[in-house]
Formats: sequence, structure tokens, C-alpha cells
Amino acid sequence: MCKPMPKHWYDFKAAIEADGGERGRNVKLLADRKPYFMRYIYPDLNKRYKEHTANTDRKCAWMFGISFEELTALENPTEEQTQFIGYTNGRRPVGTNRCVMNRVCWYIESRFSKEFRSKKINGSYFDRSILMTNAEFTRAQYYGIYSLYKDYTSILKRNTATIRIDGKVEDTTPLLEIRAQFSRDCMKICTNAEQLANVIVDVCYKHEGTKQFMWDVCSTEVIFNILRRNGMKISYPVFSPDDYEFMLNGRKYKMVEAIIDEARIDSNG
Amino acid sequence: MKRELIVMDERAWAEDAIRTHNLGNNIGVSLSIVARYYYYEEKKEKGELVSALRELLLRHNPNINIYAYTNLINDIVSCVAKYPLTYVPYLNITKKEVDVVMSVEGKMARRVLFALLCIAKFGNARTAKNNNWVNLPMSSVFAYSNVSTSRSRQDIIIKSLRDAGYIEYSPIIDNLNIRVPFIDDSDSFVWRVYDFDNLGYQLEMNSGVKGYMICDYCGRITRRSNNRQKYCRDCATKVNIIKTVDNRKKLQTV
Repeated sequence: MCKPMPKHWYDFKAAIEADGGERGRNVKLLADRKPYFMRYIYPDLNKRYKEHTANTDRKCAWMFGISFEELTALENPTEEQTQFIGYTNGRRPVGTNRCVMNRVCWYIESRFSKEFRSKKINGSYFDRSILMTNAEFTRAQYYGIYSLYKDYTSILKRNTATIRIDGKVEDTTPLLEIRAQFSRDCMKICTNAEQLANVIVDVCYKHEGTKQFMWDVCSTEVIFNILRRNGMKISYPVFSPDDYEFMLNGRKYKMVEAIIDEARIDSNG
Repeated sequence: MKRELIVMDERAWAEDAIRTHNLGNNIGVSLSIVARYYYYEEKKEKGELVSALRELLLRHNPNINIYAYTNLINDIVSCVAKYPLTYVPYLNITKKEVDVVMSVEGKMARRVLFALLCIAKFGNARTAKNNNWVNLPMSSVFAYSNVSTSRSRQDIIIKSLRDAGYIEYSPIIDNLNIRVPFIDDSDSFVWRVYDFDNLGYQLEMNSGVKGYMICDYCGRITRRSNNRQKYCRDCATKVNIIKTVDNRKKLQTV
């Protein structure tokens, strides 16, 4: 059984004690904080870092009337301002030393700017017509399916949370029964499978949220629609050491095409 | 504006929440109050508390994901014996404190300082170790003071109050708690604060500013929109419905 880390490696008080009450070698080598890049590994650390940043920024505005970024950019800060910067660096929950990983992390952050990160991918950016046919549906059908969609997603949320709490996959029979019931309810509203698929795709992609409803109720029809748009042709990689087009994990592959026979596709995915 | 819950009489609040199955918007604080009520008043054991809280939560919202609140309920029950139920019937605002508040320039700053004063005094009444500190988020403080303004303007107000010496900051660099140093309970009181609704309006009305009134139905202080107004906007609708139903009943009996 391995021993735990010596406390004076990561605890300031223990380090001072180990140095006999003074700031000696142990304090200089102290690793009391994780490096900056680890905020993307530990969500709790990220939360603490963001809180610290937001609070110090606000405190800086309260004390000096400027943001922390502006304060650090000042050419001739006062003694109080210098002290504030020092205390902020000391209280920061992550280490901002210029180690290699931190510099890589900052470089990636600068490339993935706020503008880039804020472009959320939602239904409006995705052309959902590739999943649909030209079959039209009525407004009554739309709202009927929408109400089932809302009920289904709330049931799904509850069941998913139950499974996650225990950390293991529960008996999925109730979920299958719920799925089957919802499929039957949807067919009552819209008996035509093609129309139903179009309604469900429209409902799922017009609202931000899970698309699981679509994949659970009409996955076969949606896949059919995509295949038909591509002449029932699919492309997939096969292992080909001699005549290859690309490599993955050290293995060689090439893309081959196949025509799918509609009758061979199983019902219900 | 969203704000943290401040309850002056937690026993009455808990009884009302249990009777109406309404925990409000702040589920965590509400459950904490109800848990302490169950523990101190109904003498429930910790084992019974968990099931009682879960039942109340389901009655509050039958569609709630109860499993998402498991950790919260366990945390609340584990420290239920730490604090008793709060009962602060009113806060006495003394003449010295009123004079300090009224000496502030600017209506918004005055309201904010008054809200900080009341919240600090409430904290002192709850625990002797509070020492005039306000540890609520600023968004709650501004919501209680009826000051609706931008974040940058909020920061300017707080800075101006501190520069004038009315408030102090915490020495810890990332701690946004504020201390109100001029609290003085030794003087005679001139105002009493019975609830934390619309503290800003309470200040205006108590200091003689026109345009504020007390609702005849709920007793809250609200802004007056005309001279004949008797009810606040929320109660006006309720009273109208009650009176219409009464009138129709009278017509039917006649």
C-alpha cells in the first residue's frame, strides 16, 4: 500500500513547521495549488477559479473604480494597488506560473475566443430538411406531438437521474415500455409514418433540447429519409493494409460504398 | 430581481409552507427552514426528516426530479441541529442610524445603505457573532432596496458609500462581504422594520416622501400611482375578483 504525500509538500502551515517556523526550502518547493490548465479537468476547481476571478474583479471596481485587467495594465500603480494585485495572485486557487502546459492552455484559450465559443449549435444552424421528406402535416398534429415531446423529455430526465445516482444501469424494461407507449400515442395523432417523422423532426429541432424523442420514436424513418437523399448509398471504412486511403491509430483503412436494400433495414432501429 | 430569502419569523413561515405546500423559489433555504421546524417543533428524528422533506418537495412540485435533491436534503439534515429557528419580530432603527442614512447624497445610495443597515441588524439579531456584517450577494441587497440599476452603477454606488465611510469591505481580497460600522442600538428607536419587502419604499415613506402607500389588503408598502389607490397592483386583481364574486352572489339572492 502506497504512503500518502507528505503534508509539507502541499500544506503551507506544515511546510512552515517543517522549516522550523521560517520560509525555507519546503515553502519554496510548496505545491499548494494545482496549475492553471487543471481547471479544465476538475469542474470544482474551475468553479472556484471563476468565482475568485469574478469577485476580485468586482472588489477591484469597488476599491479603485476600474476592472482588474485595467489595474494590471497600469503603468504606475500605487502601493495599495500593487498590494491588491499581490494578494489576488496569492489567493488565486490555481497556479499561473509559465510552465509548458499552462502556456499551451493559454494559447488554445486565445484561439478559442469568446466569440467562437458563444456560437451555440442549435436547431437554427442545422439544416433539418435533410432528415425530412416533402410530406406536409397540420398544425393540430404539430401541437399534439409537441405536447407528447414535452412529457417524454421530462420522464426521460427523471429516469436518467435515477440511473446516474446509483452509478449503474438500472433495469431498462420500464423505459422500453414508456418508449413503446409514446410511439403508440404518436401514431394515434399521425397515422402516416412519413408525416409523423417530419412532425417529430420539426418539433425536436425547433426547440433547444434533447433529440432523443426523435431517435426513440421514428429513428427508422429518419434514417430512411437520409438514405433516400443519398440514393440509398452508404460509405464506410474497411481495414485494408495494402490499398489504403487513410490511417487511424496505426491501422490502414479505405472507404467503400454499398447500396442498402430498404427491405433489409430492421424496424425501430 | 432574484434575491436570497430573508425570513424574520421562521416558525410561522414554515407552518405556512407546510400548510400550502409552497416552498417558493429558493428551495434550498426553504427546505432548511422547514427541516429546522420539524426538528425543533415537531421533534422529528433525523431519519424521519429526510422522508418528510422529500414528501413536502413532491407536494410542492409533483414533476420535480426528487433524486437531484438527495445530496441537498442529506446536507440539510446533517446540520439541522446547528442553528435554532429564527424569530426576529421587528428591527429597531435608531435616530442616530436614521440620521446617518439620511445624510447620504443620492436617493439610490440612501436606499442601498438603508437595506445594508437592516440586513446587518437582522444578522446581529440572529447571531451575536455577526458583528455588523452583510454576507448576502449584492444582487439581493439591491433587490431588497428597490434599486434597479446596471452592474457598473451598482459598483459606483458601493464605492461612493465606502469612500464616504458609511461601509467597510472585508480585508480578504475575494470576499465581497460588507460591514456597516455605524450601527448603534443604544439610541432610542424612531422606526421599526417588520418585514424585508420593499425596504427602499419603507425608507421613503418613513422619511415623509410622498407617493408611497400601504396596501389595504396585504399591508405591503408600495408606490402610489394615483391619489385614490387603496391596493398594490398584485392585490388589486385579487380584490377585484373577490368583490365581483360577492356582488354576483348578492344579485342571485335578490
